[in-house]
Amino acid sequence: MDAQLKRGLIEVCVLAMLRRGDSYGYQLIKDVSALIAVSESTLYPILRRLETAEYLTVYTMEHNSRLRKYYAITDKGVRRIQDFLQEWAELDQVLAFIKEGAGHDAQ
Amino acid sequence: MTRNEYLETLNQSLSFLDAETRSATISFYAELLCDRMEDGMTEEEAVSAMESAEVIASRMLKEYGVNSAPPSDAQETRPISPCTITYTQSDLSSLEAVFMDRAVVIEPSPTSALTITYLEDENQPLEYTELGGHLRLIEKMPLMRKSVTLFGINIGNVLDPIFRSEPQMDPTVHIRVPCDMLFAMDIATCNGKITLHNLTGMGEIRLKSSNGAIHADGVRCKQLQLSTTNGRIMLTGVSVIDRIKAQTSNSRIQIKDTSCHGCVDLSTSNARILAENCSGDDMLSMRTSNGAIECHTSRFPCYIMRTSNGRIDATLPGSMAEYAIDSRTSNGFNNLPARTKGSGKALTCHTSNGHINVTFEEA
Repeated sequence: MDAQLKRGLIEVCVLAMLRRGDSYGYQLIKDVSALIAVSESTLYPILRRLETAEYLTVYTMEHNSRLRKYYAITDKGVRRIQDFLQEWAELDQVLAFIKEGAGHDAQ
Repeated sequence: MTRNEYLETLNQSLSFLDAETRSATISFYAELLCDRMEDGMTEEEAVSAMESAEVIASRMLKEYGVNSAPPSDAQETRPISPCTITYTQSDLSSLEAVFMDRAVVIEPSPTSALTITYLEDENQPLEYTELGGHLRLIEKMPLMRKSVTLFGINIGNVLDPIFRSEPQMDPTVHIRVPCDMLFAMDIATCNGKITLHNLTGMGEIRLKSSNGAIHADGVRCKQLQLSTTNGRIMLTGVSVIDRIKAQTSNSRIQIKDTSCHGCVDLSTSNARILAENCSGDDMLSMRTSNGAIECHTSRFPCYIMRTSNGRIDATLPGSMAEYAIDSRTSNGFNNLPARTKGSGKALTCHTSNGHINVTFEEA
């Protein structure tokens, strides 16, 4: 898969996960990996970037007498998901055009 | 490695980061360790499941390194980074590595650590796992590809030739092995050449390439199994205990100055087989179709030479009388008797459309 495409996909995938509920590092990696192959060391910089861009916020909570960092989506993050889906709706149209062309070639 | 040792190693690797980023990064990975242990893993298992400090550091370097520009989505970036995997434990059981386009060079390590160095495409990282002395390195995607766009949308990838032409972009994997480390090594590549150089005290070695050659020189190991489709197999100065098995389809096999206590089994089609100055305690079997077989100054108690559409030329030790001979050819001269009883040694020569020309050192 193309570099930028994959990175963009992982970013929005993370946001979509957080839309369903706040989560923490380990759980997030498990959930995202189920959909798209990503390593912990690749995901961590992406989480930091999403935080810098204010698509998510980080807060700390106690869990089994240790501190754990949780991630939560922001309103800006929700809008980012919607923008992304719109971009892909446009892609769908172009794909349909290309598929149709490819069908003719096969005959 | 303990949890604290791992985190300390990580801390050292991230020394280029500012204090806040470094501390946040370490907390992130420390949390993963805790979560893994909560999941039921022991401390050792949890640490083994973590990515190496080098990989984590190289990813952070790309984003936060002093000399790196912040990643820009507007420009096409070349996300290639040098990677090193280092294994320092003395309990290595096996190393399995699968590559696509890469060549592999295996040579001695100057230290007591096993190291694997290569250039990695950040977007297609190699998958490395380490568990209980079994190392696995898998390349799932072919090398650096350049995207092709239509209407501003990426629709596919082609292999980027720049990756190979710049010397600092050589994708060859270098595996450096400490001497006398007995472990099983399985290396496979599609399009790359595999080279083994000056390795001693190795265990079982299994090498596989589709389109690449396999070259081994100065290797001493327990067992050697080599297979390639379109590449040559060349062994020089190789010494093996249990057995040597080399097979290829469209290219030649050549073994020189090589010895083996067990059976030596060489097979190819559409190419020749040459054995020179080799020795063994068991059998030397050379099988091909559409290729010549040559065997000189080699000492084995039993020889099997089979080909069609090719000649057999050999000079063998001892006298003809010692060998139980079974020879036949059609459309060719044969200077051997068809069948003899011999005493102790054995020689089988079968071909069609080719000469059989075997001479013995003693009359």
